[in-house]
Amino acid sequence: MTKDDIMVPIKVFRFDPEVDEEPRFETYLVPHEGSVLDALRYIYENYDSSMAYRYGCSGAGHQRCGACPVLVNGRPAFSCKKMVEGGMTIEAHPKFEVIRDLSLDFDRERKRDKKIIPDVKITIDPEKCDGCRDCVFICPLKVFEVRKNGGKVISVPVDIESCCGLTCEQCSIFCKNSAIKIEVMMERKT
Amino acid sequence: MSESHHLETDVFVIGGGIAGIRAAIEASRQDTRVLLANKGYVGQDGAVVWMAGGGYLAALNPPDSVEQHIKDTIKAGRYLNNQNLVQAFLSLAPESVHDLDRWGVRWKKEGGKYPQIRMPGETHPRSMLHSKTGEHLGGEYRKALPRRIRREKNVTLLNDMFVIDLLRKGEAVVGAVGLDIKDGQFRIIGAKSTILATGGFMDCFEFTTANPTATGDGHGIASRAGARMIDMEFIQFFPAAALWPTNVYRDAYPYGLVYELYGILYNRLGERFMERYSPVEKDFATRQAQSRAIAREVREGRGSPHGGAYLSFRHLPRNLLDAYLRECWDVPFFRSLREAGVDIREDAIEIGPAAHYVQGGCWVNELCGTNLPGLYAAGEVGSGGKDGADRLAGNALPFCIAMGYVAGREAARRTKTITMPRIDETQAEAICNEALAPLERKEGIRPTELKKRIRRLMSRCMMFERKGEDLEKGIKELENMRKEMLPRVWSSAKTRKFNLEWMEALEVRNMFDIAEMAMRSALMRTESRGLHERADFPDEDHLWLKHIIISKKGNELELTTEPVVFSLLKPSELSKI
Repeated sequence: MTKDDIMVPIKVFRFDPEVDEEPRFETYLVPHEGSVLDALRYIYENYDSSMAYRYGCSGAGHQRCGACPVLVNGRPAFSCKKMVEGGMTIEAHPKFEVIRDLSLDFDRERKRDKKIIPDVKITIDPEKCDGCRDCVFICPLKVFEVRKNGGKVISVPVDIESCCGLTCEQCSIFCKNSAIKIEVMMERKT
Repeated sequence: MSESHHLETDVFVIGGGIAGIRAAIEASRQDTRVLLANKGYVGQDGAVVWMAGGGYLAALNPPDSVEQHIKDTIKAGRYLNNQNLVQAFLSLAPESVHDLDRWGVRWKKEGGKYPQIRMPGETHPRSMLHSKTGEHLGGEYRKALPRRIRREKNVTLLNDMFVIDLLRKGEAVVGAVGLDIKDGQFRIIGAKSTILATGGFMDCFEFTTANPTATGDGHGIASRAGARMIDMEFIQFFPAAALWPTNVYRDAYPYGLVYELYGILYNRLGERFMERYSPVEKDFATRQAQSRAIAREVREGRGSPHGGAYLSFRHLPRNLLDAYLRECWDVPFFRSLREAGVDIREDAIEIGPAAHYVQGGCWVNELCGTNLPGLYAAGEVGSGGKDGADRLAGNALPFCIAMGYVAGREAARRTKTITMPRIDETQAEAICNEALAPLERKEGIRPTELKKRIRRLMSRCMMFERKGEDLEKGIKELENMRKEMLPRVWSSAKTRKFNLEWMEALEVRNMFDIAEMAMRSALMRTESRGLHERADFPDEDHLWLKHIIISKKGNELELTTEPVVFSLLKPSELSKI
């Protein structure tokens, strides 16, 4: 059973902050095979070479690089991991600034106010966490690790000092089981 | 030329993988200012090592010793290794384990010791383990090293910086010109020392276990600047990267299953074809033998639908497989299989050989210095002939860490003895103008098209059973392409911000240089040794115990040979050739 010849429409977010006033959505026909990232590559090669998106391992290392977060139908996902379906809407991930289209500016250290580091508390519900590692992948500052805890594998925030606090919240957004909660305790001056 | 920004630093590191980060940490410790440029965001894209599976060799537990590790390495490399480099870097491997442990890599520990397992080619168990069974070590490096580098006060990270070319002053390298992908502006970086740590060029092949960003930019820019290149004909293939199901495409995980679960390979006709190729070891033959066999089955029309072989576990009792799967239920590979509805107890997955590692790169000495003053190379791009004709499985990362350490230390040492060199502005401007050309062309050939052609050509001529006439034809084809198509490569997208096509147009130039160097070296070496297999010269020839060195003279490549120095071990001491 091959889906090679079947083409399906997907809606893709397009935006150049310098030129466009408003983001727009465009619909493209892509092969009903492979990941959302493959579909974006197909658009780039066949329809519009100005399509901007990020890719890292492109699935080679089993989605271990965390470079390609997008919103698929309003839900966060890695584009290399999500398989393409007809009628999908693909948006830029909301928490990072858009450079162009789906490419995000991960370079948050530059924008971070060095004087105020929020004191955050990250709690993980061990009942809800299923050790899927999405938070390990997504955190740009590498706060999480997956550890064995009482026979169960769960995520643990091991480097809270690195957490950028309010600006990001990637882990809690990305967690498909809503197991991660971030609270800002107070604003601490350094 | 449009406005560009000038940056100055003591040590400039190109590449944010394991070798580059290690080099930056070491240089920073010596109180020098460091800039680290990476093609993507440091810790995410732009580095292949985050995808590493297992395999980190260090001689820690007696009776194993560094001497034995060196011996095994040279034996695997078919005596072609640069023995001085092997000794210099592998003796640093045990210490590197403790460094990584301190930085947060979770090795398996039992009673203050690191238990190790034996991988093919090792005399004693020597391969490090993850504290959790079935987990990849790549994720640990990805977590530990980027976190560590962000703590270094002297290091500034240049994320999304594509380095186009090196800047020269006489012989010496005095910095580089980079393109900031985010805003499309050039950055002119002046540096007292420059370290190349750009990894390999696996993307020059159609199917690879590496990132699509591994286009070998370091090989391209180094050879254009006049660095001597060595061993460019040796390219390693990984036998078992997944081809199907689609959601695990290119995942290298199945290779471990061949060993752990005794998987069996079948072709389209349902034959256990490995019995024909290696009657004794069968499905557990060496990586190279497996890869070659699968490739031949595919070429002769017996491949699986996606162009590989079937890997099946159906011969095993179901409850045994159930027990294994219970242990590994949360490993991402098995998660994805479940999502795809593939049950490995019943169905076979499809696998095929993929480009995995390159052993060729810059010629380097024991201090990681290239022949150009001020230019150092570490990791995959800093070859120096350390891997010989075949790399011992698990040696890549200890070499990367050790070379990163040495390169960082030496580059920092150099900065104390010289003053900041002046940048030749006309040279920098020429580089920028050349880089802008694809963007300014009104029409032409798209870089994706050229990339596809190079990949097809390399996959045809440079994989297994290389033939002289194929290589000659391939080189001609490449020359024609370079003459007719490369000057016409253009970016149809005209924006400068995050323009992927422009970046690809700049990568293609490096890929042309690499393909030419690799194919000409392969044509010159008229023997079969390790990873280099010539169908027309099937035997090892002791007269070929020498390296092929490439240097660029004007626009021409000059290929010379350099005999291997047997400073530690002679071939006769290890086994009879």
